[in-house]
Amino acid sequence: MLNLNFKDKNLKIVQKFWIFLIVSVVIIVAGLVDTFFVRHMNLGVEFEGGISINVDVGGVSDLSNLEGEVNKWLKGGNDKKDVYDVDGTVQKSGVGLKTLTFRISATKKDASGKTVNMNVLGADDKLEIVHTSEYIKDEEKGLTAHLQEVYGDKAVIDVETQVISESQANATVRKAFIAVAVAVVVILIYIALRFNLLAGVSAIVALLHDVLIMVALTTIFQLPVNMTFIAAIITIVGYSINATIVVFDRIREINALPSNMEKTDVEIANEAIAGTLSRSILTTLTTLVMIIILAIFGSSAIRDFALPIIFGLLAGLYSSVLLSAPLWVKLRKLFRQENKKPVKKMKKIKEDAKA
Amino acid sequence: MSKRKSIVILTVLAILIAFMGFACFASGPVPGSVKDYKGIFGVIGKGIDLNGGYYAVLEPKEEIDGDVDSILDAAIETLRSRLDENGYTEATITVEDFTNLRVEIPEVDNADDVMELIGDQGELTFRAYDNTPLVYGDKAVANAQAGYDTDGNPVVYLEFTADGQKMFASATETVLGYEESNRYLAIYLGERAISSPKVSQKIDSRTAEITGIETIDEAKTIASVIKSGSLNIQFTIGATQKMSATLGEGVLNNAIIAAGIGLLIIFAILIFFYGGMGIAASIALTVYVILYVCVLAVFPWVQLTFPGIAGIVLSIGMAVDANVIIFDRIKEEYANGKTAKASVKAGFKRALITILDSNVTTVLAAIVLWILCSGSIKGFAITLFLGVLVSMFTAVLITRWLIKVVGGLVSDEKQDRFFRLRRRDA
Repeated sequence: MLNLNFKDKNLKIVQKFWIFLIVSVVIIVAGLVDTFFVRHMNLGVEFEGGISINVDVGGVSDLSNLEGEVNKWLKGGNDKKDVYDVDGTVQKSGVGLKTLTFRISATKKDASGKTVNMNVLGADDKLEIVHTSEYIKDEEKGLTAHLQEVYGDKAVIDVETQVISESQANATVRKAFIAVAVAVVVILIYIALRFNLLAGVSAIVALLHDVLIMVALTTIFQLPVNMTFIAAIITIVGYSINATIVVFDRIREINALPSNMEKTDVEIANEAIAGTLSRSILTTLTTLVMIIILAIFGSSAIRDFALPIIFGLLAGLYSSVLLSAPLWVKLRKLFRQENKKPVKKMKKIKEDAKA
Repeated sequence: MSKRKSIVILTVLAILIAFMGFACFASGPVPGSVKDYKGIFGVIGKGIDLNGGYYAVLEPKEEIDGDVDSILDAAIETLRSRLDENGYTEATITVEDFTNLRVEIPEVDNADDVMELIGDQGELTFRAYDNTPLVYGDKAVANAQAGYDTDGNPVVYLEFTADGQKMFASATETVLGYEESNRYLAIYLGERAISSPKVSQKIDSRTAEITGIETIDEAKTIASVIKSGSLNIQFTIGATQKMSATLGEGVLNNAIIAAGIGLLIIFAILIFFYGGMGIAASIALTVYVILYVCVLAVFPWVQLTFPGIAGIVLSIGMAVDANVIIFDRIKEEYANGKTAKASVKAGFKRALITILDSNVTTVLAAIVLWILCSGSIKGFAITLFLGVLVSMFTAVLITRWLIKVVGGLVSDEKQDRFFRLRRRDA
């Protein structure tokens, strides 16, 4: 039988902390360089503003042909007045749900071929609510009519448009940051109260590590980033902190045993990691099963959501097992607290009082 | 627990689970009836991203000058009544980011009409009995406020602009020229009559009162309509999307199938590693899923959204986690020399602290999101919050009871083997 019992093994994880840290840092730095300087994230309209058009495929079986037709139309085929820059990849959805999503950036070419900032929404006086509405209606009708001409009536069931202004996009990013930041602070306070401040700091560092790895890998694999990505990040924030806390809970328990008085931080941390390792692996495994199956059965949107979560789950397993407790040991050493055993002290005081 | 008792309990439980499972997830026509049965799962409130619908975020065109809350309230009131009148009674309007309005309408097909409806600035007019507009309110009324007159009757105080004063002077003069029964000024917003106050004398001042109003609430409504019509905060569209119901339906069905298959695999993993305890956990997880669906259906503020599905998956993961923590603990206690029964008891006791600490952080994160976010992320936060609470309940109480029940199937001597418990290698 598969043996997941690591309790009696000395894995010496704390001693190898720097190796584990370097592996993570390399991935994060590579991803962040890619994010900020090379390819950038594949941001959806919710984050950048702009228009996205969903075309329900209907009876058309040749998707790449349809994609070409829509692209041609958007880029000004068939004497179309407004010419768009279509950017980003066209997303296709999975089994049974056939939808193509086209992202249009906030710029278009006007009749003379000049690029103008569309900024449909917001500053431009001409395009207020009613105008925007008429504008979208015209575009949807135009595209639908064009596709019906090409494919006949069976082709297109629905063309849907999503419009997000730049100011809304900014608000979305801001809100997401605030939400994650507040959540992190609240969690930090809770751990500081229930455990200790350095454990809280270590747990938060592990958490940031997971988020950064997710961001890095999402950029490296050029996965589309939209609201569901934020949900994915928050999912991991909630999930990976669990695993870290289970480790710190074990440290707290080992620390509290009088028989462990003489054990060093390194020994205690290693013992706690080994003692919780089977749980960490099994739990991550079961959640991975759930997410992977969801990815297989889900539409493309679910898949775009599932992949970052899978990255996050693996990063969470890595950080909670290999980084958080070792970091706590290093921090205690740094702040010269390695000899402090608060729980036992309290016990000792109580015992002295009794005697 | 005796073997017979265990078998009876498990049989009853199996029937209950089958029944509840059917009640939760089945749907379709009822035999011998024209009605369709809608499973409990179908009753759960669904966000517009799953159920289809339309949303728009309206941003004020210019910075709002003055009391933002009351100005926005007036705008909401205007939009609300316009939507109600046109049959969109399920529409919700909420304030977002302090100054923006978020309009959500489930299950609409004609999103363009809605946009025109809410985008229409709806002119305020004061009309004669024959419907001729005499005063255009947008420029005439500077302020409208509800209050009481000296006799304690509800009134609406109007404050005119300089132009408004002139317009009202001539309008009231015109009206007074009509027959007695036609001497009133009808207040219209767009084509909707709000109130028809009688005119008893020529008004040629900066202020006037509308009297003869029944209640203060009515006065407030009239004041807010006149004010919002005349205030005319212009909005621009910040974001808008129409979502088709067919897409959402597919997402949901696929997610249910995926969750089902995922659960079966998880059951296999749990039984492989924990034997009899794994069987208990599998039953407990099934109970958890049914309970969870019921809880989601019961609370009216639950909005199942696209990310909300992830919240559900995550909380199933957490529920499994709680079981794994407990079982690992039991295994460890047994390895250290306790009997099977004592190990179960000690394992649950010790694991409870771990589960509490690790789940509270998730609950805290969910609450933060619930408060700070809107739309689909809020839906995610709610499903996660409820899911973690239910999972703690089932893992701690139901699994514990089920281990006793399942344990009763084998004799005490065989329990350690059945539970895959092993002593520490000497």
